[in-house]
Amino acid sequence: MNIDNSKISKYSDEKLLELSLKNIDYFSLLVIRYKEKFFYYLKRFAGFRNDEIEDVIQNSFIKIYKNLNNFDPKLKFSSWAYRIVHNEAIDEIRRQKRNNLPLLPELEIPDEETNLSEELDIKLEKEKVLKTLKELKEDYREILVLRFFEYKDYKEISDILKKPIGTVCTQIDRAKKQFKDKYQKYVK
Amino acid sequence: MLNNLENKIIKKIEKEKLKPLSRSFFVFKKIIFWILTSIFLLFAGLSLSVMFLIIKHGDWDIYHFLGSSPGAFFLKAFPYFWLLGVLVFLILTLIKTKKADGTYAYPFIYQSIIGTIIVVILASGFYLSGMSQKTETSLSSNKLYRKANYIRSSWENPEKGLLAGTLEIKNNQFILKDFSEIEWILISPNNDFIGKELLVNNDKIKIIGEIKINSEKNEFIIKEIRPWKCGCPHCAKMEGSCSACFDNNTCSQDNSCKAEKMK
Repeated sequence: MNIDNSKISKYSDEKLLELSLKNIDYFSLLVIRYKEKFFYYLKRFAGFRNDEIEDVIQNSFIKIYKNLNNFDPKLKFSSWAYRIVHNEAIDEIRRQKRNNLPLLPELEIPDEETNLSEELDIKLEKEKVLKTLKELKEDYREILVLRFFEYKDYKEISDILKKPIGTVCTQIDRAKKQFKDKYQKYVK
Repeated sequence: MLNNLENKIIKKIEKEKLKPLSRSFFVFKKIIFWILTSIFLLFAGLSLSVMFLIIKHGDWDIYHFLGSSPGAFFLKAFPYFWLLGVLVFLILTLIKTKKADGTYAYPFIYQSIIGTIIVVILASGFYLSGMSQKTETSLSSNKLYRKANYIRSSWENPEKGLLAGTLEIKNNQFILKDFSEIEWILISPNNDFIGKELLVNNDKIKIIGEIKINSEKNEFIIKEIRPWKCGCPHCAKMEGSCSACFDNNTCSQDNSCKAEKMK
């Protein structure tokens, strides 16, 4: 089946999800739309290697596909999909812990185009941020990544992590405080 | 990186012939979830109602037969078994609902308060409908349950004047078969004891009295008979204490309550 890409780009995620139930080709469009977002999310939150990330994303999308009929229309598709990716990542982290594999080996923030001196400053800054993130509790790291790297609002974070909004606010505050305390160490 | 990931995923879906699970499967899963949660709540409610029944109608007055102080007896005889039941089932409910769709958005403290209120309402229903009494009575035939319930096991102490078992009337003789299958001949030299009306063949009863000394047989002198069921010590109703039961004219064995009150 041929899909008119110009038309499809205007479709909402929820519309694509609905169409995916009838034609699997629409599902590949959802994958295209989200694969990079999930890649960076997993990189920042869990610091998996690229091949591990690919596996986690693949498994997550398979799960999303099998659970298409379980999508709650009261949620945003992205919140629902992030929740599945998040759960897959947690499973992978647990699996690695069980097998005593090193965690967070490659936590990184993707590069942007800059000149050489700016690039150096940014690189140093990134290193500090990454080291700090790495030292945070898993709960705090995931919530900071969702809020400040994925730009999710409180309601979306609440839906992704299945936590009340009040708890999300409190955890963000605590995570920020912990981040700040640990970050000071690197600034000094 | 991630090149053609969409193709890999689609190929995998097609190769493994994966299909989205049907809507009815998820509906069924949700129904099972809520049925299980309701069962946990019902068990928590039932446990609370039996706990309340034992606290209100347990034989708290028998402490002196066991040479115990009221406080020490209360600590020993508190229905911990049922308290544990309440806690376990309530915690199981809360664990299940904490991250459930539709409930995760509510703070855990609200979920706990609402869960507790539901359990209290259910417990009231079980208590008022007599379900707690039926449950406690049917479980009391179980040896392990009696062991876990200090008041119940206290009635298996004939040497301390507390005896329980099933009554059999043979040749105008009252025989009590206790839970160790030992037969006791019940005697009352002056025929003066409370609860005569409870001497019904094949009924379980509790007896306060003493072992007849210098007797070759197992003979037990009756001072008072109580119904096996938890409730008014004379008619096993649950309206209140013995005197309240008598004052309200609800005791079906008025004479026993009256005699008790006169003591």
